[in-house]
Amino acid sequence: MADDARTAGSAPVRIDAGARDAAPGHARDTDLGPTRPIGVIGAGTMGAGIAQVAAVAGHPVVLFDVAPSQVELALGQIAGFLRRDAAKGRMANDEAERAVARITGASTLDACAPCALVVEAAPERLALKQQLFADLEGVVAEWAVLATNTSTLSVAAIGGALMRPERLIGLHFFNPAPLMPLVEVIRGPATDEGVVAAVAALAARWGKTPVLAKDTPGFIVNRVARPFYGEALRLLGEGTADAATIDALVRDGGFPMGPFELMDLIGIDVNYAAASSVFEGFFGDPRFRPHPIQRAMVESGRLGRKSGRGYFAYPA
Amino acid sequence: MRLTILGEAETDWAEALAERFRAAGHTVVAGDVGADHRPSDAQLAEALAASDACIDLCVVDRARKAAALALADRHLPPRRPLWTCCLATSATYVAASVEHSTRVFGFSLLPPWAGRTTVECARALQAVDTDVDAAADVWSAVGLAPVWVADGTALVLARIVCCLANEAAFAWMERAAAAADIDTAMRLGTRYPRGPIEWANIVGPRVVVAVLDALAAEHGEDRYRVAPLLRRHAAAGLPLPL
Repeated sequence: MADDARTAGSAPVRIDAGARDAAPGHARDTDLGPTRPIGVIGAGTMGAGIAQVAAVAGHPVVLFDVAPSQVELALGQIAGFLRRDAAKGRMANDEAERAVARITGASTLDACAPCALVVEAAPERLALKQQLFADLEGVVAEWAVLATNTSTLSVAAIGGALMRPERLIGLHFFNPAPLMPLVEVIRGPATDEGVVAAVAALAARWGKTPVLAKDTPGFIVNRVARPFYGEALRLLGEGTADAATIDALVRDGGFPMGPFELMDLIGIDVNYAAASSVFEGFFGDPRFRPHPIQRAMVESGRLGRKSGRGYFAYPA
Repeated sequence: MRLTILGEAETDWAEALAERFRAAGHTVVAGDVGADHRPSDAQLAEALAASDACIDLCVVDRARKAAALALADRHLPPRRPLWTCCLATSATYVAASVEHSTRVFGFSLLPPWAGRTTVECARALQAVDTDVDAAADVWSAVGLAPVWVADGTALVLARIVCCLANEAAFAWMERAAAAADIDTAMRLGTRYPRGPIEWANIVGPRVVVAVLDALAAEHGEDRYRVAPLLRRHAAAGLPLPL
């Protein structure tokens, strides 16, 4: 399936405008080439990272957030990251400055009007994302591609209220987006194959490795990784070994981090939310059942590194 | 140290582990119990009688494992440790099946073995405390530090990895993604050392199924049910296609 992305190349891809409301034979070409503007919705860590990736690849970028202060903060952070990369010799100074200059902050969606692709990286709330995309449909060109960076919600559900769900696709980056090479490209039930090919090709041009996934709970990584945490928690709960011993044995098996230190790094609340979401998405399949230890940790405020306490202690 | 290693035709683990011990200067006889090739069962019995310890590496074939344990129980001198691979059982269950139950210890060492510095060890409930440290000398002799955990099917790493492989097989079976893309995603998205499907092939689909079936039997939980496509590949003796 990854071959689809490689063979798509950089040529404009024909997108069927959709059977719902387009006249027969009405199709348009879309161009996600390196000069086309990209919109990013949400200036949090993930949105800022995606904006940075797109800008480094040469795209003019509009970074939107409802909070202007968040946009300013993100722009400052991106500039800092890029100038630090330049200082370390990872990129030329002028290259970094050009990338910084390509990103424009915005606090109204209208600024996304010229964008060929808009990537949404808003908080994981279905109603919020549905409203955002409904609003975007009234702003962007009819041929523009819409992408959601959701990690837990269904692309089908997000696109359920859209006039043109065929142009909505999942584009799931991993944190930190500028460094992590993987992007999951999620085909919703209505997503046009031309959109899939164009977005996968774009991700490859951005230096990422796109993998194509169906719109199922957790997609690939957040689903397949569940036993890494779930079985470790059961081993802990059954008294097989303590967290440090389990982590050490898993590291000796070749993993860079053990499950407990990784949950502490991710955030135990974030990990628990992902586990609960996949469990719910599969209608309570016991393979995905979260563990009572997770809930107890969250309820007691032991969230991992960010709270100073998790499965291990992190003195300030 | 003189050692007898008992294996099964499903894997080449017995000879591979024997080579590791021989490279460290130890005398090893390795073979499959009941196999129609050398060493014969009589030769294995003779080797056991002269051994300081025995390692049973049978996983998939329960009848073969039972025969190996019976042979070791009968011919390995008393108080010499009998190490049983508990990927698909537990030390306690094995100890309950032999006469000399107090010298039974479980271990788990999931392939690939290159780079490993530890071996997971578990004492059977019937084991005698005073024998534990001496028993672990077997592993120290080949540079593997014993890490003692409570007894249970598959112990730690194998339980986690086989469940990862099973979930990857479910995702592949359901066409959530191509097998190669699943492995790529897990390597690049989570920095796993290898994809779970590649790992299942290294371990062997039949071993993975045996581990999961044993976990399902021990815990009585549906969470360990095997992906049908994985079970079919194991039955066919085929690797998962990547």
